[in-house]
Amino acid sequence: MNWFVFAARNLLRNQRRSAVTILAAAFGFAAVNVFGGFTTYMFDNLRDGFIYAGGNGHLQIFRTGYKENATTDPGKYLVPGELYERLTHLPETDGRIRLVAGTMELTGQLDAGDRAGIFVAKAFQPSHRDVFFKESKTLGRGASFLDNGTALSDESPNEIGIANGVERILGLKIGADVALMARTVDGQINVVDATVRNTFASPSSELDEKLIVLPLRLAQDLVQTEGVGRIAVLLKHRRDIPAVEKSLQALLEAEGGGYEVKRWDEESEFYQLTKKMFNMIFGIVFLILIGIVSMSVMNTMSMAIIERTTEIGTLRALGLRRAGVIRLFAMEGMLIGAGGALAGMILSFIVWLFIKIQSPVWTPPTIGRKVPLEIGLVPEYLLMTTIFLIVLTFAAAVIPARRASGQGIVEALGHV
Amino acid sequence: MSLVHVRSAHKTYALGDTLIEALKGVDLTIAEGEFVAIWGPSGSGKSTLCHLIGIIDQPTSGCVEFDGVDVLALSDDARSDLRNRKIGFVFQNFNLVPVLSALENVQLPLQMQGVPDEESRTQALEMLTKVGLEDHADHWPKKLSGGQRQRVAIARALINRPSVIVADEPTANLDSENAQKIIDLMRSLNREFRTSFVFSTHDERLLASVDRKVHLLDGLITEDVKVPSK
Repeated sequence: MNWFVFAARNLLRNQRRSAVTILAAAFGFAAVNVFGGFTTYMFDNLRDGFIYAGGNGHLQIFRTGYKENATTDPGKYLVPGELYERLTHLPETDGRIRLVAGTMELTGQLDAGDRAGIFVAKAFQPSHRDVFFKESKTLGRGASFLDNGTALSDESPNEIGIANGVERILGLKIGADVALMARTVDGQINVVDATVRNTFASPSSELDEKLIVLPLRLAQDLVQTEGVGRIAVLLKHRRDIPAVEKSLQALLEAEGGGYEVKRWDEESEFYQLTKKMFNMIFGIVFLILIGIVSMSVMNTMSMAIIERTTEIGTLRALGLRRAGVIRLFAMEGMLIGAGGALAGMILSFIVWLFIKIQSPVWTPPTIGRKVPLEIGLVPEYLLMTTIFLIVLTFAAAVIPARRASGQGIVEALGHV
Repeated sequence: MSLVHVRSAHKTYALGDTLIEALKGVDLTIAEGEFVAIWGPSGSGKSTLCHLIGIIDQPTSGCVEFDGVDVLALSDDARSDLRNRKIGFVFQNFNLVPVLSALENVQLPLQMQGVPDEESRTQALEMLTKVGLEDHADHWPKKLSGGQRQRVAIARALINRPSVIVADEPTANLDSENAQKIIDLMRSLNREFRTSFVFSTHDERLLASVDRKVHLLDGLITEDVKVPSK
């Protein structure tokens, strides 16, 4: 028999009370891990949505001042076509880079014969877009996001995709011919013909009645340039972001400077704000659960100490030091913590399994379509919560145990 | 040779606004190997004196020396260690730990010292044999009779081969037959191990086998007589 067995047997004295306390700790553990697993999944999706679905890549290159002045003087702030062309060959020499893709954002008017409307367009090379979708790990795993029609292709440079709202207000069908009108880089008005090839769900309701996507070549023809607005750099591994960022900065510096290289997380304000908000909610939930679990353990330990006051007096009379009394109750607290962590892991697994089997779907922000809801069981969270729970229950037991160990032996022995 | 020396001990308790003077200047010396009964009516201060001898309480004034050391000068940890190694306790209500078997209860003081489990089990079993309970080693306290529980408590008190065992009303919860058996057991162990025994009682019938009778009344020793050995 050792102190550990002694502590375990003490917990079995009042099995119902111990079970309720362990369950409280288990629910707290499961709540933290399920919520933590959900936020991890959501952050992954938001990141994935920005990098892959949004076609923004891990790093973006643009001319200094592009973001502020692109609409008023687009020609001045485009990346020259010659530089873009050279950068597209980077994956051949740098194994960390998967793809270099030029994009362009423009606005103009979409003329559908008897109806017309303003458009906001994002242009990219269709084959590049396919690479982004296929690399996506969370968003439908490479599935296209189209609602109707087929994906754009490099072979059909005059075909475009329109958001469902554009389709609705302009009464457009797949195969409809339209005219796109916009200002060229020289400030002239230019028009190109195009055919609607697909419709898709816009990531935001504000853009639903305006958003179209078109091949980069068509956009360049429309604004009469060989340049691109931004260059999205897609990497093979996220861990290479800082190193590639430095390489690109050095490379662009050698080109005479005047360019910015930004990481995806610097550019995705939505991701940052959402992450901050959820981290704050997580913190509040965590604090509430700490309060519930620690109060529960302290209550259990306080009750046990009151019931066992005479026994504490006896142990002290037999020569157990104050620290020994504290150690005994701390062990009991830690056992509650360990039991709570174990039961919490099982509970988290059950929730995870339930969601896995039920496969619910949801529409995350910035993606604009339903995707499977998943909750990750994050090993780091499980480990950290286990350690934290054991430390917390240890501390919650020590507080009343310190008080108990300090009372007079005779007083304790005479306790009824 | 003197083992415990209580000098001019006063002990005052506060009961609400009232001060109760349990001991009013007691001087007492316990020698090695003595078998001493502290007797007197309820409220005479017997338990309080036992608590001072057992170093689980301190006098309001006066001092207690154990093996020539002033125990009031010791730290709480040092007093705990002294109790663990030199003093055994037997309580009126037996005070066995209910979640430990008879054997594990006897092991407890050794466990506090960090004695390896196997070694402490052997010693505890040996001690249970001395009190006639070797067949009850694995029994839980609630399965034992009052007399058996007190025997386990005596084995627990003796396991460290202490210099003195303090027993506060050890027979109060036993019938007269079992009470006498417990006193007889303590007496035989006292002779076998040369361990001093100090026990309190209000039952005069249990004084027949003692070396020395200390009579307490209203917090004062009114009689301290050695009984010639039979």
